[in-house]
Parts: sequence; C-alpha cells; structure tokens
Amino acid sequence: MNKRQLWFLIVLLLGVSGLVAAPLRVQVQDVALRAKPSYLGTVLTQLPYGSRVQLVQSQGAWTKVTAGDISGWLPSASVSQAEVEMNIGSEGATTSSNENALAGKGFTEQIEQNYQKERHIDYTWVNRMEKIQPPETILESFVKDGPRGAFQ
Amino acid sequence: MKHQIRKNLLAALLVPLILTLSCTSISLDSSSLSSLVTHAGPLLASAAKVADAANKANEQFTPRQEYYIGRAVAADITSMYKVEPIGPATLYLNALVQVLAAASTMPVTYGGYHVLILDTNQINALSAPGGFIFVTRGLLECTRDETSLAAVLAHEIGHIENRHGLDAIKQERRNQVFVVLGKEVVKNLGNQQLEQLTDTFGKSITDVITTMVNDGYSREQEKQADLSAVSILRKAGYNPRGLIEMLKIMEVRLKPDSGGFAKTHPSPADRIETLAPEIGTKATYEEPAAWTARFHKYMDSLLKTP
Repeated sequence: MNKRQLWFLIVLLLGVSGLVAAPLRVQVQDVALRAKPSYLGTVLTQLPYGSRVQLVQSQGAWTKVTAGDISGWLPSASVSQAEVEMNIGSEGATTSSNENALAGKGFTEQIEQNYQKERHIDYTWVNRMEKIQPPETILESFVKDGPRGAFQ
Repeated sequence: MKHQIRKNLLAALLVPLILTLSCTSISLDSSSLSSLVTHAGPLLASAAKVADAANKANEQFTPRQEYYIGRAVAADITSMYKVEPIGPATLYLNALVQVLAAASTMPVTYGGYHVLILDTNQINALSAPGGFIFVTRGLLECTRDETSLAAVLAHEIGHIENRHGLDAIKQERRNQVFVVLGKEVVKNLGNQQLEQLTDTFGKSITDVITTMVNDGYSREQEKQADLSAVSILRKAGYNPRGLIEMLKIMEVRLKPDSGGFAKTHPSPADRIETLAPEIGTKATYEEPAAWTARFHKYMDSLLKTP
C-alpha cells in the first residue's frame, strides 16, 4: 500500500467514524428516553421534537443515545440523522438546504391553522383523541397477562 | 497480489460499516454517503443507492407533515360520523393499539397512535396517515375476543405503516407545492404562497378522503394491509387466525348494499382466500382466559353482548 492509498484509507475511516457518531434529532412530537430497550422500560426523561441526541449504539428497533448527561434508549424510528424541519420563520429554524427542501413541502402547523380558519374545519375530536391516555390499570394488565410480544 | 490484498483490506473495513449502517433504521445523510461512495467502489455504491431511495421516499412527507395531513383527514372523518364518547372500550382500544404498533414496522409516529369508536352500525374502519384510527361499533360487533379485536386494529396499522393514505395524494399536488415554493430559502410565507399551499393542502386531504371513504384502497393495498396485520399479530404475540375469525363473522353480517366495508373492501371470502397460503382458512385458535376476560371487561358495555 503506497502513501497515497494509506492517506485515503485514514481519511475514509475518519469520515466514516464522523458519520456514525453524528448527532441525531428527535423527529416525533415527544418521545420517552427509557432505561432499557423496551416500551416498559423506566422513563428517564421526555425529549421534545427537534432535540439533539448522540448515538451510542443501535440494536434493531431500539437506539441507545445520550441526551445531555442522561443515557438511555429510544425507538429507532423516533430519531433521524437528517435535519428535521422547524416551523417556517421560527427561531429554531436553520437554513440548511435539507431543511429548506423539507420546509418547502409546506404542510405545517401554519398551513393547518389557515386551513382550519378558511374552511371552518372542526378539530375538537382530533385534539381530544390525541389526549387519550390509557389508564395504568389496563397497561398493567397487558404487562401481567401478555401477550408477550414486541411490546414487552 | 498486492492489489488483491488492498481490495480485501478495503472490503474488510467497509463490510462491517455497511452492516452497521444497514442494521439501523436511522436515516442517513445521502449526500455524505454518496461522496464516500465516489471513492469507495461498487460495494458501498449499492448501499448508498438503497439509502438514497429511502431518503427520497421519506422526504416526500416527513413524519411531521404526515401528522398534519392525518389530523386534517381525521377531522373530516369526525365530521362525517357521530363519535362514541370516550369510555372504557375506547381506553382499552388505545392500550391495545400501543401493544400492536410496537410490533409494526412503524412503531412510532410523530403524534402517536390513537383510536376512536364511531357510533354507527355500519361495518367499517378508517385510518388516517400518522396513526389516527377509527373503528365503527358495527365492526367491533364482528369481534368475539381480544385476538379478533387485535386483528381489526392490526389491519388498520397495516394501512398506516404502508402509507396507503399518502399514496392517494395525487402527484400534481406534490408538484404544486414545489412550484409554489421552488428551491428558494423560505423563512416567511407570503400571503399568496400561504393561500396556494392551503389550497393544495385541502385538495390533498380530499384525495385521501375520496380514496378512503368513497373509492376504497386497491385490492393490492388491502392484501398488503392484511399481510401486515398477520405479521403484526404474530410479532405482538396474537394468533393471526383472529383475522380469519373476524372476517368470517363479518361475512355473515355484511350486506352488499350496506356501504362501508362492503363498498370499499374486497369481500371477506376473497380476503380469507388471499390469506390462506399464510395462515390457512380456519378460525380455530385459543387465547388465554385472561385476554378474553379483559376483552369482556372493557367491551361488553359497548357491545352489549351476553
């Protein structure tokens, strides 16, 4: 292996390590950071949309991350290595080309508000639906009696 | 020889990397991968093509955009039907859907999975993008135990994970959004842009509703949702034959002129036949007594079954 090829490999490996260790962003409204890779794992903290976390390891449907000084597990589908779009004009919005492409799709809270106002659409039941929280007693019965599939 | 050693070394370094990347469901920055690939050869090139395709498909609608589309579709649905007040049955369905979603290929969505019961005898279920599921009392009456009830929800999760609702949005709407905003940096929408985007948003919602409520999904999409349901039920720990049980009851109760499922779905007999290679055609299975007891505890007040 000549010098040039050796340098290429070094640069390649550095690039690769940077890619794998790149920060991730939470791409769902909010997600529980759990102590173990299970939906029944203790909730360490809630992370809102757009939160930046660092990848530690991936284990199928679960990803271990650090958020500040807390380390825990998130469902892999709840994080993305791509920039997530913020509200157009919001302070948190960046101007990365990726974000512009996403913001450019345009179906955001601002559009929903205008749509509701112009068409007199009633979102009462939708808002109520989103707030439904099954009581602990029902969830505990699934833990106790099963089924013992992916949820456990 | 030296050349061969170098190639092997490169492969030894790159193969674990590709495996590492492909084992995560984290979306990768396709441009970073592409630039790596330019120098790294065909092995990474195929990995990058897969990542590129996935990214392009995902970029059409991010989970957050899917959520806003889903909310608007859900708002339309709740304006068309009377909604059952939130009681024990609704709470139970909302717990069960979490158990099932965890076994799907889309275990989390931007706003999570939620279920409402529609107060009608019509046999039907509807699922809006992003995790909003609606099940009619008529369809719930086609279930006998927790396994068959899980089958109903698993089919709807199947439509959501396969993004069938979004498929209904015509390409011209997607193009229209791009025409309105172009590729420029957009920090604030002008009035004209806001109006045009709102109009496109409204038309997109109409596309989804028209397909979901009036035309129905394609036979292929229904088959896909049924097969997803089988996979979800298995992974969640339920016997997938619960789906056959539910379809057999539905077959008896469904009248050709009753709208709902009869209008927008293949007949239960056709669906059972399609599922036969996967799970057979028999509805025989046993579920633990604790599950049946749980089903009756929360559903009986709604279904008024003995």
